[in-house]
Amino acid sequence: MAVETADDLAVFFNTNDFGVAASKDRDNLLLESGFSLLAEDGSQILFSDGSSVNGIFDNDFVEVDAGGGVGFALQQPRFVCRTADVSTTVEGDSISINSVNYTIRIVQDDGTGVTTLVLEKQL
Amino acid sequence: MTHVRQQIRDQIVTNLTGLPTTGSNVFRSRIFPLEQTKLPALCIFTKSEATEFDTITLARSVNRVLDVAVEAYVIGILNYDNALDGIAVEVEEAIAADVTLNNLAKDAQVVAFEADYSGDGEQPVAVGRFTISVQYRTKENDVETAV
Repeated sequence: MAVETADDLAVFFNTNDFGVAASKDRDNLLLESGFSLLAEDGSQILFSDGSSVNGIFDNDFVEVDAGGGVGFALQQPRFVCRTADVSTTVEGDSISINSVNYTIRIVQDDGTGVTTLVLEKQL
Repeated sequence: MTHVRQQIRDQIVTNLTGLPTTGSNVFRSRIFPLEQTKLPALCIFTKSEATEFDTITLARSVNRVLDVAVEAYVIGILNYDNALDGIAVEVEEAIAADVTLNNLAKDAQVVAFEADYSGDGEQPVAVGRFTISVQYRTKENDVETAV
């Protein structure tokens, strides 16, 4: 059981600080998980209860080593948020952050109520 | 003049520059990471060479077998494995089209290929590594001229 509740964790992902709002694909995530889509405002989609998925979006450049003599200089998108907000998210779901579409490739629940989504940028 | 090994490396760079997929993204002995704007790309390294004296009288002749690594770098959401094999068609046929490397070598053969993949970045990436075995000969006291 996590030490902090989901409400306690919300402060870490406040969009007035470092958090950003992410929208989840309405077809393969929102509807399947029982939510209904009410509104979309730029990169933000609201759930039926008026809440949105807030989290910390990191997209730093890293050197990716794929076994060659040199690496790849690529960005590494990660979205960190409350597990409660993405409890039904699975690999292959889509998410939009800052108007860029990503496919969720790995859902990393760290067991403390926080989940990191490993993202793949779509064309 | 330069060492024949350098001439061979330069000739391979020349022969592999302008291929349909990788175009001018051909880098010799690159050490810095490749950014996305430079992909797909080829990197060419000469990493090892075995030498053997094959005459007795001075100055002796040296038979050399140079391993040249040609690495293909690609990025893509789908079919990155196929992209590597598409590059393989172009690289292998370009090598086969000039096995003497403009008369610097006795022979050049693609003797190995291996591929690796990673999903650590924003999109999947793949590296295909060709090993090209180049046989050439020099005199021990004149390594700037192929014999």
